Amino acid sequence: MLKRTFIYILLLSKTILSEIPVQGYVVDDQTNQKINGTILLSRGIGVAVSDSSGYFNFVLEPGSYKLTAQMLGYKPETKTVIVEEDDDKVTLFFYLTPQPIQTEKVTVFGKRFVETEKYKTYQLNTGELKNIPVFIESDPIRAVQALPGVIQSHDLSDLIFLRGGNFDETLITLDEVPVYNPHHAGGVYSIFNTDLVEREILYPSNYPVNFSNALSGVLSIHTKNGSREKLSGIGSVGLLSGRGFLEGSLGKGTFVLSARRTYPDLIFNIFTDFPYYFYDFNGKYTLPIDDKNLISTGFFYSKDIYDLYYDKEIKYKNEDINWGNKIANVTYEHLFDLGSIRVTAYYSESDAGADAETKTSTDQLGNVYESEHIIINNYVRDIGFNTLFNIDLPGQQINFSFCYNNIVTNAFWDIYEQQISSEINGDIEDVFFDFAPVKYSYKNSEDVVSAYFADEITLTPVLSAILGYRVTHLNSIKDFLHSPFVLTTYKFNNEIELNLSFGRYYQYLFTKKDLINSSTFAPFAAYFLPKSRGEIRTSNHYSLGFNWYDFIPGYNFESEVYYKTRNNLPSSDEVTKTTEYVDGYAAGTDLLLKKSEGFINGWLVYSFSRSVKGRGYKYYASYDRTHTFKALLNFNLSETWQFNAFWIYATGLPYTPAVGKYLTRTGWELYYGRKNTVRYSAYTRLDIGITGRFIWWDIIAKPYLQVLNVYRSPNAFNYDPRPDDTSIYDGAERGSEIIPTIGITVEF
Amino acid sequence: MAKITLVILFSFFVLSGCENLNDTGEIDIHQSVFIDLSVNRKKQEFLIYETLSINDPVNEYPFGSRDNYFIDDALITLIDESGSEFSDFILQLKEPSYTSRKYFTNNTSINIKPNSNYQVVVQVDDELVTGNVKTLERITGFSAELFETSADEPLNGIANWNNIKGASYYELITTYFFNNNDSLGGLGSVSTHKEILTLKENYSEEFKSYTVWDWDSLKVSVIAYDENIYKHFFEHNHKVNIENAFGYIGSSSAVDTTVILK
Repeated sequence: MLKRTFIYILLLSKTILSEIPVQGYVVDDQTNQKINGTILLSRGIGVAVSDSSGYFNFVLEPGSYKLTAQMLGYKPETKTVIVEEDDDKVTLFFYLTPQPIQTEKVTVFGKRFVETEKYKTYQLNTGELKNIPVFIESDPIRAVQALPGVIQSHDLSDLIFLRGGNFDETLITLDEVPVYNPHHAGGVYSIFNTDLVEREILYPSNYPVNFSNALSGVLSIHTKNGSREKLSGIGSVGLLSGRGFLEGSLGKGTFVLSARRTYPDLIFNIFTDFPYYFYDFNGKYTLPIDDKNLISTGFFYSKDIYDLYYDKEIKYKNEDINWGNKIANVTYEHLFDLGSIRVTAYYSESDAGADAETKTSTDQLGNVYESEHIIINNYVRDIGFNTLFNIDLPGQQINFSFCYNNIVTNAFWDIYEQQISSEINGDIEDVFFDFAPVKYSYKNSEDVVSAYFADEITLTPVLSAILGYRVTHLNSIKDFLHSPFVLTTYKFNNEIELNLSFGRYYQYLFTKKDLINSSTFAPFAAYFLPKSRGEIRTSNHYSLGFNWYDFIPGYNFESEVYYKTRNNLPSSDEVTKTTEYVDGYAAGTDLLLKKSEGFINGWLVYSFSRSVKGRGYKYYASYDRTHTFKALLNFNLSETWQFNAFWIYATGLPYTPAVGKYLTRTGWELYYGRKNTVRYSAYTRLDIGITGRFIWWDIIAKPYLQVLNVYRSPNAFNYDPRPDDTSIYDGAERGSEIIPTIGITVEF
Repeated sequence: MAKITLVILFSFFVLSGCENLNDTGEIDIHQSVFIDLSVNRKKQEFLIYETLSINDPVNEYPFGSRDNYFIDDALITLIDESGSEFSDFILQLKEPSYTSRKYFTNNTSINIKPNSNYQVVVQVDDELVTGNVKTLERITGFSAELFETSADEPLNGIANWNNIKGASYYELITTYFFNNNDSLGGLGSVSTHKEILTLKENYSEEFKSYTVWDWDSLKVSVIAYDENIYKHFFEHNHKVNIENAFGYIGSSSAVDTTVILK
């Protein structure tokens, strides 16, 4: 008996000792949220269920297994796992892709992402955002530059030039609130924290009638609503900033909170002067009152601060140079049998300020240096109210809405200074608009009332259409702007479709910036309202698209040809230093080949684009890039390591060359030739990154190393010729540095 | 249908791939001319330079001599209100301490009348550069006096003058002269310049030497400049009141006094 017991214990010990722990997380690959309740199956038998933080653990004996993660609403994922006897533990990550479920029609909150599939869009979800190599700091707007139809002016800029349009022609919204000048660090990064973004939707042209006031397209950024599961969050530290994100439930609702601050100033100011920092924070609370009523409210705040005259003797300083954004919104949504009604109120402000003066000084030879001063008070304030009705009928979905906006713009500056101007190779006031004077004052306001409807009709099983119409009334001009829209889609079969679209668009809030060099410091662009109908910018968009989904299993091909007329565009002349308003057009094609799953996934892009404008003399716009190739590839090397790479090759931007030199009483000056007749050399860059995934106690740690511009391509970013140049190609300033970034993100 | 669509797309970008960049253009103004009709000055000083194509090198930029680009054979004519012409201008050189020495000046005496209209014509090869200017008035009420200071303090004093119509800014120049045999190795003078941009009825501007030396004399000058010259220097307008050239045709009015110190 004792011997038998001993043998049983020995066998049991051997069994226990030979079982290897298996642990990991199940994650939604689009939102990066952990999935509760996922069943893990081994050989068809359930072995574990993920908990509220998406975590699972169980044990397996050494051997080869096919493990499947299965969850309602997601495509199952199966992995082959080999468990060795000497493994301490096995770590797995399942990233599940949402899969729509066919059910009876159910009206739910938050339909916006379904609607967008009918329009031509390019989308980035949380997971995809994090796969794009970063320029020191992860950024949702810089990430968009990897998409088709989007042009980047140079490595340091986060500005978006969309399908031949200027940067101020793309409307950027945060939870459907328009955001103006959303830039940190002089336009290197946006103000948006990647952790709070759930999805970005880019309408490259022919955007729906629920948006307005943009000549080119729309970038719609949607933040997370928060998770009802246990409190979770993300913390990150990189080379530039530390940031935190928290989400969870509060009462019957859910919340998100995020914050970020740069820290180099805190370190360097111990030894020397580091005069700059930025921070931003946001919060959102979503409360379903009952199953038919929902209310949500959110706020966003960002601020950049540059310590003005930190190295000079100050006469007075009321305000350092600062700029930032304030956003607040509240939405109420009510469901009824046939649809829903949504009421939104928002406030959005972008501002820039400064107020300081230095003392007059003299040197030993008696040369007097006049005191310098910078006084700035610029802002754009937009208050809006929207009421949206959505009605679902058989074969038809109708939206109609009434909107009111009050927009106030103010621009005031009085500047006399030398240091900052020399650092940015220009006059500081040029950041407001081209050839701005040293003193300026402007104020204007506008009441905008608009209404729109959009009707999505399924005409036949293969033919559908969206008809839309928006009418806008500007109180100061006392005129109506009419914006018709039509999109027809013809499906050859489940995989191939053709679509044709037309839309008419207006822009009545705009900058007066045309010279791309001066757009380096984007946050300071002054915005203007029209004084007459003739100042309103207009554009007609025509597009023809062809999409072939799964043309090779797992591969989607999308293409679109577009043509846009563009009217009342600013055209700045470097010779006469004046700005006039001209007409033009943009045309081109975007091709996208995308693979979403597998060991290698990503996309390849080719874009051809032409953007021309002028009166009499026609020239290429400063943001015209003829050919652009992009490749974004992600390699899942193992459960622990992921490698990503982004490559871009684009023909150069045009610029106005200096063709002569002449003397003035103060020195040599350059004479500029015809506008935009020479191009920079090709723009190319390879960025790579590697990200790890480790489970430490109950948290996922993701260290990352990213390297930008791996082969040190000398990309031009500015044209600054000198009188001792002897060629029209001299003077292109180039950056060619390899920029590494390291950091770590911790998720719990 | 799918194939036709692909062919259309492919053809679109292939056919549109040819680029037609416009001609860059070239500099079509061939000279920079700086004419300042200075009232109350016996010797005028004009400068005329050629412009260059971008391909031409600029020697020793930014501090090299401009003399390589001076147009030596330009012909300058001033025509006054009565139609009288004066064109006796010659090329001169400043003293060797200057980097850029060449300038045109009047060979014989010319009296630039205040508050008068002049037409200026400069001929360079077969091109004419022209402009009209109304000269400034004479400065009145000018005086300069030194405050009492001890030998180990810098010199300082005050200059007074009245505003004149048409002046856009003033320059107050104090030039301290000392003996060439002094320890500074032959340096003849040291000047301080102060620009006054505020326009008012009367001016009382203090000046100071900032260093203590054994000066022999002090010359205090006030020069009024008209709007044309102001626009060139302060608004960076490189073509003011002049046709077929960069530069300006403007007017100034000068007055000075010398104070003997020992």
